[in-house]
Amino acid sequence: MPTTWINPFVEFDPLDLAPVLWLDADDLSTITSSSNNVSQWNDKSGNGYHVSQSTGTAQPKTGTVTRNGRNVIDFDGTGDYLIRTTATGIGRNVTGMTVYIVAKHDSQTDNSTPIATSSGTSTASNRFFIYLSGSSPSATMTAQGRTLDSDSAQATTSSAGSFADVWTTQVVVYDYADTALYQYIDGTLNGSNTAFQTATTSSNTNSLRLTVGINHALATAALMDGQIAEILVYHSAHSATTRASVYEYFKQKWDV
Amino acid sequence: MFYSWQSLSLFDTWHANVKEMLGIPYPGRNARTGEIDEDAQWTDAYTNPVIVSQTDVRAFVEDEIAVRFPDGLGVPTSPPIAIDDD
Repeated sequence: MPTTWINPFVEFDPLDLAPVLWLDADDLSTITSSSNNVSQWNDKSGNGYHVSQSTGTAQPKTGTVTRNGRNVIDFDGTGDYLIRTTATGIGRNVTGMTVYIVAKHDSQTDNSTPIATSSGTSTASNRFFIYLSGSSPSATMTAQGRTLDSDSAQATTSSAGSFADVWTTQVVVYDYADTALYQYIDGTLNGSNTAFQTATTSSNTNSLRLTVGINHALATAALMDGQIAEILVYHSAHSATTRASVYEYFKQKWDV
Repeated sequence: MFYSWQSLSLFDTWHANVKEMLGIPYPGRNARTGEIDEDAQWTDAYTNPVIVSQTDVRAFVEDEIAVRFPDGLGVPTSPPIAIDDD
C-alpha cells in the first residue's frame, strides 16, 4: 500500500481567510508612486479599499526603506498619511474583527496611529483605531473601538515599553460576540478589555473614513513617524491557531 | 497644538468625554499642582477654549490627548490671536 505523505509546510496565503483589507508594501504592483512618493496604496483583498494621498508633501515614501530585503512604506511623521474618504464595509455587521499590523516607529517620542476607521454614523467617532502614544521607554500601544455606532468607545492599552526603532507585529482582536478586546504584541497578550461593548454584531453601517498613518480625526499629533510593512484586517475574531499561522507568514516574510 | 471646533457645544462634548475618560477633575486634589488638597475646589475646565467666532472655537490640546481622544476632536488650527486692551 503506497504511503501518502502530507506536506506540513503548507504556505499561508492571507487570501485563504478572506481579508476585508490587505495592504502589502512588498507588492510593488499595488503602489502608485512618482519619485518615490506614494499617491495610492491598493487594497489586495479584492474589496478595492485603496488608500491614497493627492497632496505631494503629504505622500509617504516607497522604495527608500526595506525590511528583510522587502519594500516598506515610510511615513515621515510631519505630514505623511493615506486616506480613503469613501465608505468601506470594514467592521460592518460582523461578530468580530482581527487587525494585524507589521510596523516600526522611528521616534523615541512618538504619538502615532498606523490605522483608523470611522463609525458608520460620524467621521468624528471611531469604529476602531490603533495607536502608539507616549515616549520610550514608557510608550504604550492602545487599541480602541466600538461594537455599535451608538456605543462609547472602549480601549485596551499595553504595558509601557520601548517601541521605538523596533519592528513589531501588533494584533488586535475585536470579539463583539463575547464583548472582549485583546491586543497582542509580537504574539504575547499585552492588553485586554473583557467588558467591551455589548454582545452583538457590529452596526450594519459602512465605515465612513479609513486612514493609514494618522487617526480618523486627522490630528497632526497622530501622524506616524515610521514604516508600515503590511496590514491585514479580517471579519472574525481569530483564534490562537489562526493567529499562529499569520505570525509564521509574517516571520518568513518580514523577519519579525 | 491648537484645534478648532465649529461650535462651543461640539467642544464641550469632546472635552466632557476627555475629562470622563481621564477621571478629572480629581476630587480633593489641587488642579494646578496635582497635590492632595482636601480643601481644593472643583475646577470646571481641563483646557480653556477661546471663542474666535460662533463657528470657530479654539483650544490648545496636548499631542498625547489628541492621539488618545480623537473622537470629536476639532481640526488643527493656528493659535487664536490675542487682542490687547489698550
